[in-house]
Amino acid sequence: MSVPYAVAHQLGKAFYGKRVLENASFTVEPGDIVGVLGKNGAGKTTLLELMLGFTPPTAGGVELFGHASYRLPGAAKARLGFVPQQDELVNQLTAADQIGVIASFYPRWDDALVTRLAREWELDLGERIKGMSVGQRQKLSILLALGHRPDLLILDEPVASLDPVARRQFLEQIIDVAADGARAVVFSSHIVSDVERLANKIWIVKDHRLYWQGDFDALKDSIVRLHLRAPRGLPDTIAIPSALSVQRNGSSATVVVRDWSDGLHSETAGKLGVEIEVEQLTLEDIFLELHR
Amino acid sequence: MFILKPHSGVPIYRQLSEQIRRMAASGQLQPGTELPSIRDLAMQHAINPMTVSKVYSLLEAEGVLERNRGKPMTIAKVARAQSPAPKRLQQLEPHLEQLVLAARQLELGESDVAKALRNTWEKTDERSVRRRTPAR
Amino acid sequence: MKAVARLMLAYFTGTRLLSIVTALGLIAIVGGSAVLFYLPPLVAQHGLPSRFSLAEEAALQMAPVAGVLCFIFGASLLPSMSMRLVTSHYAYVLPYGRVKLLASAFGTVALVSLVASTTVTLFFMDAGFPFLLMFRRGFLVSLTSNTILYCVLWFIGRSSSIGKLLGVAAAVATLVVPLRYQVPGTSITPVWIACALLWATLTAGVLLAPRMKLAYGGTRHSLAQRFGGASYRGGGREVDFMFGTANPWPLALGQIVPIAIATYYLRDYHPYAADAPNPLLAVMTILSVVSGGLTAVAATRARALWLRTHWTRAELFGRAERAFWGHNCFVLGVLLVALIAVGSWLELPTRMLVLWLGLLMLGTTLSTYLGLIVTASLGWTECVLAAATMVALLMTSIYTGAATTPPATIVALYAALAVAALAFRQLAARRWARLDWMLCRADSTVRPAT
Repeated sequence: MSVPYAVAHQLGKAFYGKRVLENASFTVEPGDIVGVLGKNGAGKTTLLELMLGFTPPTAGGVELFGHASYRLPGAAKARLGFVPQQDELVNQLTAADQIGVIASFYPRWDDALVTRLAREWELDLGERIKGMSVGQRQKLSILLALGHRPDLLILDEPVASLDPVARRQFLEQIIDVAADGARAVVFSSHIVSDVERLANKIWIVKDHRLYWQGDFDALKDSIVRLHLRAPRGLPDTIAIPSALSVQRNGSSATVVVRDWSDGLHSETAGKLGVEIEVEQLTLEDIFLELHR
Repeated sequence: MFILKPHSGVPIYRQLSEQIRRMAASGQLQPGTELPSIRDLAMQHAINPMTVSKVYSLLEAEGVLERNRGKPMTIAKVARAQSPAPKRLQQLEPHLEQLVLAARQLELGESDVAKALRNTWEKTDERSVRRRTPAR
Repeated sequence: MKAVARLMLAYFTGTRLLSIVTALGLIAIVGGSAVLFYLPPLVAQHGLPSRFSLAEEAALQMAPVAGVLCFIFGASLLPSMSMRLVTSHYAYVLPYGRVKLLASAFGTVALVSLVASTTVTLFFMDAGFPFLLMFRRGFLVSLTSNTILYCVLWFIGRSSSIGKLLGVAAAVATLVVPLRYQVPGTSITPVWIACALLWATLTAGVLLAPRMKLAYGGTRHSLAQRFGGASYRGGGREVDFMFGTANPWPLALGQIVPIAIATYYLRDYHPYAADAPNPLLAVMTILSVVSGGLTAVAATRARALWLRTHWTRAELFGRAERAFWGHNCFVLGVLLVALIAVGSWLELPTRMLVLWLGLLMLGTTLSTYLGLIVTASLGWTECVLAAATMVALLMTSIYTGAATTPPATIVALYAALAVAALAFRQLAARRWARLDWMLCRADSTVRPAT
């Protein structure tokens, strides 16, 4: 029975009276790769910042490694890694110096790993940071969060500026981190295909709430697209509980539902007098359907 | 070794488990063949290692795979007791559904489909099964 | 602890330039002090014969002082780098991040002050003052003034032209004013208080930053809304807005503050040697040059104009010249008026005033064209030209200030400066004709991914 790395219960944050996030509850277990999806402004970054203890919650609480994240003790921080959305490197230094400075804060630093990755990712460690392109700066930011082998790695849009080759290398590194089942990764991304490959848990932030929080496979089984065919005509109203959208087209219709389960199949088909084909959606489709 | 499409609607674990089952059943993967480690398979296809782990555990419970301490998972050596026909038929369900759906869309009747099925059954024999299964 | 040490190392050696400056500083301090100790006593202090001339002795004595200054500026990565880290996510995520950053800042300032005060105290030892007493004083004064200096350097780094102006003046002040407190006799209590207050504020600021961030952000935003920039109301001033020369008043009027402060402190200054430099003129010369310096952004801003108008690069040069002269005229005008006002109040001779007017006009001209010469990131050519110009201007100001200089020399000097200005203009025009915006990026923190 493993101790979760992060636990939140009814987490909420309000800024000047405006609710930025409310009632978020989740856990992150060792071995998890959590993908966080959400439209811009939905509260994704706030969620991550609350998790990291950058800002105190105004409701509920979140704990990292058993400590309240806002008051995370120094020793626990050595188990935490973070890659911000916009890099915060010191422009005047060389990459090697920047790594050296950050490394000195941690009791353990894996030099071999950093050197190997820098070589694979084609980062010249002797180059000045102010002369680097955006993609290289982002790669360096990621490297800085991997060197101390954190147990919990949190990344906010880490691949926004990376080309597909670099992105694939990054994905492989994330897999490497999570593969032994003792470390966890939480990352937010707009590149849904990456999240689809990697994540075993999905958090969807919508309208300042955690709309979905749980297994990715369960999400795929829960939000599906039903194709209804009624050769003898569809009923006037298609009443399916928890339907997200309905599109009629003559004697057929397409309905996107949430909270679907196989047991509902025959029941719904019978009630409406239609034939139902269940189509499972890609993660991107699920996201788009939720925001229609 | 496997063809995985992470962006189709079908969950990756299902794709992978079905392929391993079929390849083991068809003899494509001989008993005793070593499967890649969880980490290697995950890295190769850029998928979540927990998914691979789940599939391996599932198939081990079903008896398709064997775990050897310290060594990678292998296809089960022991000719496992044939699982009952109804259970094996269950694996054909998705294919049957697809077939029926396509037939209905083409407005073909049940008897036509049954006849076509018999023809195809006679045309394919054991050897062509091996040849057609994708070799990766 | 190793983080603190590593940070301090980065502050001193993070960039190539700073490593060199730090190294030079240390060599000058150690070498200069050694020379002073092992050579026969110098005339100025003991009235004994020496084998050095006055000038040589002055140079020798200056060596450790210059070394101390180099060492202080060698750590000038401290303000920008530590603030960058403190205001970033790293301050939250690194174990004991804030504490270690604060410790590294204090350690660096303390080290620099230690070196500075030791060197200065050694100077006073010969004069018979007790070492420990002088050292304690010196260390405290040094600590306080260096803290202020680094804060000012940070401020200069992040601010616009007006801020840079005030910052430079403040930086010079922090190096000069503390000398008053070095000598025993003046009370040292105000320095204790200042030092304690400074570090208490800094500590609170760094450690409590998370709580204060919200309040600060809001205030800064509303201040910028109220007092920053100019608003466009149409009607033909688009070019000015693109170049950023639309509103000269903040800079023009902002100059008055350092002038007023300098005048107040120097009003009783009477040079005891006929050809000693007049510090007031030096201040004004610096001011005349700073306004020109902001022209350096012209090339990067011209890109947007080039995309939207039919002007060629050569025509753009003409437009930029016009826009910046329009702006700098106001700034120069205010400076000249201030000069006349101050000159009249201090009852300086008319001849001097006229000469100073000319010098300031030359200063602005030279610096404007120097700014236009910058069409790529700062390279050796630009730095050498800028340094040479500053030195030439200051030397000329010394000569004009002296009553004994023959008029012919002054005329010659001014003529030479005017010719130099024309030469700069030609150089700038030639460079603009071949302007390459890949080398001259507005967002200098990012290079294109090639």
